[in-house]
Amino acid sequence: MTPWKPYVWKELHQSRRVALGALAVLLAISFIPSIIASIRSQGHWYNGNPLAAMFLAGPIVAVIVGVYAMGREQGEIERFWRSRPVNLNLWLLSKYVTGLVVVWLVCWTPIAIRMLGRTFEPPDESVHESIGMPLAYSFILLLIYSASFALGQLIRGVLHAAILAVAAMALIFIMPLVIAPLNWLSLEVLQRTDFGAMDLPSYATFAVSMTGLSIVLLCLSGILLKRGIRVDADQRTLSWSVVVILLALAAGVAFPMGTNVSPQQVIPLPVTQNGMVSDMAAHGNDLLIVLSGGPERSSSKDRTYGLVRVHVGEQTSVADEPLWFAAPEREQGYYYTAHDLVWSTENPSLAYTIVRRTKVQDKTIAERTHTLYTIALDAKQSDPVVHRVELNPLLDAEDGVLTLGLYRERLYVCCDHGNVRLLTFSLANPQAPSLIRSEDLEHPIGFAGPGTFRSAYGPWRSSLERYQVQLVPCPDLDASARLEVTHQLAPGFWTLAGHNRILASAPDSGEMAMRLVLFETEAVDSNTLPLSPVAQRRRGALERTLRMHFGVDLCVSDHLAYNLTGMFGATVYDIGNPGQIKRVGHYAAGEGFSSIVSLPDDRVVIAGGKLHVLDLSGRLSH
Amino acid sequence: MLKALLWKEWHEQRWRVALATVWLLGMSAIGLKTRILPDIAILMLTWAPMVLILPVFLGMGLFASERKAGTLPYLMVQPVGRGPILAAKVIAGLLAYATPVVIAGIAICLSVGGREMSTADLAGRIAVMAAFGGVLFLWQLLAGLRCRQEETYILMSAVVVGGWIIHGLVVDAWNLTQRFGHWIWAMNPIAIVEVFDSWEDRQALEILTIVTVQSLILVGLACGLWFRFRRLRESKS
Repeated sequence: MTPWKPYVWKELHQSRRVALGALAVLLAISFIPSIIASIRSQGHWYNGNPLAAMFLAGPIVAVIVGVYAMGREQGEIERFWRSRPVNLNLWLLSKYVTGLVVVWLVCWTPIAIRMLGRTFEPPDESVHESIGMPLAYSFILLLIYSASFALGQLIRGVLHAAILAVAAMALIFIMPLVIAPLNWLSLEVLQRTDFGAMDLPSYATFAVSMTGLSIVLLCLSGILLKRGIRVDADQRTLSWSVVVILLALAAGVAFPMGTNVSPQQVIPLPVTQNGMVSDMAAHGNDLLIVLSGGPERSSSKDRTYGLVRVHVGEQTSVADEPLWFAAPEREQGYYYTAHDLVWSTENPSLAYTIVRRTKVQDKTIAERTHTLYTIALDAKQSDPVVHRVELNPLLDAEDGVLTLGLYRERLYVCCDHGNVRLLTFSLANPQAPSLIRSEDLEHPIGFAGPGTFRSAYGPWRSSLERYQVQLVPCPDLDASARLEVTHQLAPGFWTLAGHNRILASAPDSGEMAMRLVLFETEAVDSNTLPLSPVAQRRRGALERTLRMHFGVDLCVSDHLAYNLTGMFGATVYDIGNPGQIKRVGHYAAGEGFSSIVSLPDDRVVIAGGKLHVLDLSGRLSH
Repeated sequence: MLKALLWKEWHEQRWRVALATVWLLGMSAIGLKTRILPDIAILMLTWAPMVLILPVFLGMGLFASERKAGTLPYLMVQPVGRGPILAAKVIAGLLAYATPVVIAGIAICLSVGGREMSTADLAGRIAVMAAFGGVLFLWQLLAGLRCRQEETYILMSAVVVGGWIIHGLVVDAWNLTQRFGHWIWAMNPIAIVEVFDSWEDRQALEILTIVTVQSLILVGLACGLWFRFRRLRESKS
């Protein structure tokens, strides 16, 4: 028997209960739902979610195993071992390696089971399993384990060591996000790996750094062990220290990113149950809002849709009574969604919206129709819809993303269902739009450029070499009108930012994050408007990790740009200074922001559960 | 005698109460002052971990610390029955849990009530989360009553939380509520968190089921604690 075997045997013997317990918990969390689903013939038993289990439970396992490895030898047991002819280096190394093997084995076993299961699937059903992300996370676990291992040796008392190890774990996760020079060691690495934006040198640097730090901690543990250094820390002192450090850290992270903008007004929605705004349009200081309400917040089954006019005054605002145009109780078994709105400037008493009507039977969609509604805002009758155009026959499709655009006497409907079809309606009779043109477009319209994009099917790389806006092919309109219509029909990730300028959210090269870029437009080439960048701004690592990306909804009012990011509210940037985009404020004092429009006098309205009017005219740089 | 026992428990737990109050007030204040997220999200982020960790932190100081320090036998030989000892420990534990929650809850309602959510909404959500933590505390106390070390108590508490998470996964994945009724989900402490949403969605039957089932469980937990504590052997030869 070689000398190292007794050490390893002892460690394995002492760690087996913790290892088996942790493995059982991870396997249970990973596979119980999929096992039940497979019993009900809804998929394979091994298609659980071991990655989520690894991300959540992995650090806890690393802390427990790390602290326990050295902590369990304290007191009488340590004195017993010290009196034996034990090789301290071998003893320490066998403990460290055995603990590390336990942590990685516990975390990787569920992933290996899923991968193994998927190898038996037919090739056409097989899903490519990427191990890049769990592999990167394993190095973070390595560092957490090493820190816990060192603390288990340094601090007297397993519990006290564990308290400090949890604080160390928090520091390992948070510090690289907060301190810019350490960003490359942050959790963002996982997102980049998942996105396919992590190159081999970056990956290797990250892995080597984590391993190097872990080796340093292991050496430190060895020195502490050989010199018999052990710190007595009172539980109270430890707990207070950890709380104070974490509070300071949280304050340091939160205050620079927090809300520093006050609303001029907060206007409640005139709906009694779970009101939500789907879309907004503005004429002067008047707003037209598509809002919905229903008995259940998360269900769209019983939601009714209506239009509300709101006059936004300097200090107070007036909201009219809603005009309900889609109500499920009128037709049993159907439910509705209304998701785009245009408001006629020439006829402010008319608005147009697309309503999707869905019939669900036995939890499957039995029927889905799209209808263009013309709604009279001054209607006295119970049904304000004065005209309906069935769109399905015109689009030859039941599904797809439908958007609306309005320019003078033309109403445009764009449907993207793989192919893009553009319908043009004449508003000679504004109440009854009539189809005058239907054409399939060669290219998708809107903003596009080089870089890696995320889609439902995974990352894909654009073949474009420069940024551009693909315009709608309307020969009767000039370039600026086509740009405006294009923005109405394909508003995602970009907005018009004044004369010859476009503000857009563009993917970073080699990153999965988006950056805010201000472009200048060039001369139109056929239906393509080339763009050249003049200024850009990247998000910080913490913002990127929290997925506070640019571009969910962008709005520009004079020199201020508002970037709406759903739950995270609106961030305001000054784009007036050429060559620089400067963050000037943030507003997240609401819930579920969905839409933003600008009003005169540099005011904007953000819609969530309420309407928030912001006035930042005092912060303009010009 | 109960008063003396309560004083002893308070004397041992008060630093934990102070620590929890500072943490809860500090994190809530940072989140609600900076408004980095909507108020409801801040509350969830600061309170959800707290109602999971605080019961463990306080619970391990009731029996496990005392057994580890070897002071429980001295307490048992005092001229007082086991009933008052258990009652003092459970009451002190629940009070220690409730104190930071109530102080922070009142402070939050007074400072940001009516800002994004009405004071009643805020108070309701905080009360629901606090109730969840309270029930979890009793489950963990029952499971960890015989632990001789604080570390073991933490592990036992984790097993309790893990067990209820697995219960929730099984009920959800197998649609057991449709087969057996809502009570099978209502027995899970996590179901208490749903009470406020059910209240908003006017689902009175669901609320009634959760309240009834959880009340019965609380009675059962009290009986269980008593039987386990009565049979506790704490002697040194």
